[in-house]
Amino acid sequence: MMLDLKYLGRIVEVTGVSNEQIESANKMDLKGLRELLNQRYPNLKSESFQIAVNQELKSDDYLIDRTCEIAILPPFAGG
Amino acid sequence: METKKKPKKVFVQGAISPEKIATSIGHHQVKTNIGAHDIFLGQVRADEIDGKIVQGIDYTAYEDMAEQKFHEIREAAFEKFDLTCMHIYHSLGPIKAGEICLFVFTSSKHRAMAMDACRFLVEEIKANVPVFGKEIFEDESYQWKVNS
Repeated sequence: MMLDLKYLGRIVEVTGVSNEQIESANKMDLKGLRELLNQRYPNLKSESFQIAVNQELKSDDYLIDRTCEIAILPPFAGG
Repeated sequence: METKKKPKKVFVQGAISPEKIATSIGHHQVKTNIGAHDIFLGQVRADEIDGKIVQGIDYTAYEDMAEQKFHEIREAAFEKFDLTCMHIYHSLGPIKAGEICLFVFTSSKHRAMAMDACRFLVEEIKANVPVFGKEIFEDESYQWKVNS
C-alpha cells in the first residue's frame, strides 16, 4: 500500500519536503508510523504532532491497512 | 442568503478588511427576524518575544481538512444554538500586526444564543482546525505560534 504523506507547518522544516510517498508492504498502526518517521527524520522526536488519516485525526492504535493520505500536523494556531 | 447545508468557504487570502465586516453587517438589515448579533474579531498582536517584536503572522493550513472542520463546527453550532445565520472567515498568508485574521459573526432572535454561539465557534476553531502560524519578527527571523 502507498502512504501519501503530507507535512504541515513547522514539520516541513524537519523533513525538508512538504509531501512524499512511502510504500509499505505491511499494515501498521500510527505508533508504528511514528517510529518509522522518527527513524527517517531523527529531529522529529523533539516535535509534537498529531496524525490525520484521510483528513480525520486518529489515535496511535489506529491501523493503516490501505492506501491513504496521512498528514503530520504540528500544534494548531488558528484565530 | 445562506442556508444551513450549503458548504461555505472560510479561508480568504490576506487580512479581513474593516470594510468587509461593515458590509457584512449591512447585509443583515433585510433580515428583520434577527434581534441580536455577536461578532468576534481576531487581530494579530505585536507581541514582544525575547526582545523582538512580532511584525505579522504568516498563516497556512491543511486546507481540505480545515474546510471540512469548519463545516462540522458550523453544523454543530446550528444544531446547538437557535441561530438565524452565521459567517466565519479566516485569513491565509501574511497578516500584519493590527490587521484582522478571524471574523466570526453570529445572528439570532435574542442575545444569549448569538453570544454563546460566537464563543463556541471561536473556541472550536482555535482547538480543532489545522491552521498554522509563523510569527515573523522585524529582522525576518520567526517562530511558530501555538494556541494556548
